Amino acid sequence: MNALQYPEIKPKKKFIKRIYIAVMLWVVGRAIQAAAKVDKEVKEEFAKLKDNFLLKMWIWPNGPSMYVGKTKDGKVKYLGWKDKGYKPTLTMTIKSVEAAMLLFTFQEATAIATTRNRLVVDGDLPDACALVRILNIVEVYLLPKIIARLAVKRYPKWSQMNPLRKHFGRILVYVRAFTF
Amino acid sequence: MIPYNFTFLSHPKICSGLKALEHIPFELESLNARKPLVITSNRWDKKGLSKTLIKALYDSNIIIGALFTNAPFYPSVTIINELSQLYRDRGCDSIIALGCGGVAYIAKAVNMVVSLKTDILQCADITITSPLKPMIIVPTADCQGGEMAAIAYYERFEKQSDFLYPDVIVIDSRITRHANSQEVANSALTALAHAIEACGIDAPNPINDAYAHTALQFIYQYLQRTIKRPSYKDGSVAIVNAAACADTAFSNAPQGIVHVLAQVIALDTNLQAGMVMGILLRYYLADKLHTKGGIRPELLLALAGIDTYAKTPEKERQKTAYEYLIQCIDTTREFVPATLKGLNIPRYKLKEYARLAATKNKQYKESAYMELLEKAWEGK
Repeated sequence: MNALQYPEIKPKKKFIKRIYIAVMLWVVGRAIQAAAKVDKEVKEEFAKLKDNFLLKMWIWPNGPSMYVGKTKDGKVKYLGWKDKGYKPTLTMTIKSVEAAMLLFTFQEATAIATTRNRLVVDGDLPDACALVRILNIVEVYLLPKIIARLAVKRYPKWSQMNPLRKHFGRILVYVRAFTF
Repeated sequence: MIPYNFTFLSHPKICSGLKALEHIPFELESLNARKPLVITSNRWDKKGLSKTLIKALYDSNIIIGALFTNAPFYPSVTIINELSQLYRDRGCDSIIALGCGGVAYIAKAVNMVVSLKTDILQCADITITSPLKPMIIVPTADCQGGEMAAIAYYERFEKQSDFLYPDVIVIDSRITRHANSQEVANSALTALAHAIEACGIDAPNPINDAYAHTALQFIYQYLQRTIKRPSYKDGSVAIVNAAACADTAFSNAPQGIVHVLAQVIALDTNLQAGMVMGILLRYYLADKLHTKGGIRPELLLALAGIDTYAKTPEKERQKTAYEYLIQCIDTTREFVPATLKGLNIPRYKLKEYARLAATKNKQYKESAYMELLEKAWEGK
């Protein structure tokens, strides 16, 4: 057997998909920060979390990543994508770029991705559950109903989130996420 | 009575469904491996399956030590030794088998050689006492039985050990949909025979039954449509899942009469074992229906669901389960003849097969093997 016929293969990178995911993580991170100021429910969920709460959401093995945490004065802040020696209390690892693509192109809801074993959570389970609830609300604000229905487990009913709150909140989340 | 006296082991992790291939890098990393040797056959390489696998490894820290694309159908000593040498030369730390049958058998044998650091022929005498190197199987829908079980076939040897299970089984429709109807029929019949024999033993094993019933359910639901259109994604994934479940059940039960005879005939004639199992199974079930214990009525529950099971009177459940199973076997009629005569097996060979089977598995007498073979030959 000629071993040279069967060379070593180094798999390539998926640059475009990684750029898309990086942008989506940035948008979601900023939107979480904005929603924590705008939406009462998100505010309450964050209030229940520990004071040193810090979320790291990243794509295994080489990123991109997103850091969101609570500051000393209790405000929620998007801390960027670079690891500046943070010590996350909750790490959500998405197992591959393709799994992240399914999640961030809204082909799979967070709950479904979890059942299909695409996410690994390191940290307190109640915190992770709270974060999934926060992500669901943020997605409802960010996305039109037709897409958000695919991305969340249950789209909120009229009684849970009335159109006034939804549309007014959506404008505020977008303005805050993309301006300051 | 609660059947509490049983043992059960299912080692492999099954990753099945959409984008299952993309789980491989993470699974390899969790097994502490980063440089796999990928083994596949020329046929699958030409169909682009190796490219699909490489693409699934994009953006990971995995380096493919070597992509061997010429695995033959038969797991001979020469190819096993050559691949073991390639594994060592490239400093690989794991094995990925892309395909079933010969590919998977070769991969298992190579894993034994490199893990036990010995020659393949000596492996037959060694008891495996520790885990082997990480191994992932990515099965196609041409399963021949035993690829995902705790068993290894090489040359004329057969070795059983709990450590021979693969670590991960990755079932993805991008890989499974390329087999043809004949291969799907063989896979399904092998899985059917293994599942029925695994849950037909005297001492029931509830967890093993769960696996066997799952396999039966998948086959009954999807076989007909998948044989008509083998590229049917859900169907091909279901058939391979059935094969994985049946292999696990088969590993946890003694080898049955159908399996032993089919292996002996397949080894001698080079026919597909699945095809022979399909023929033998029909007569084995007919025989079993008339014995004291009969066919287990729970099979009806697995095949037809709770509604049909509840509707069927208790006395008729065995017969109805038998009819459902025969219906499953009949689905493959276009590809599998009804008798051994139809496979052009000469009658004078039957005695030899019965003798060989009796030497291999002493659980049944030579006369029992002969009786089944004669019925299957004549079609009575």
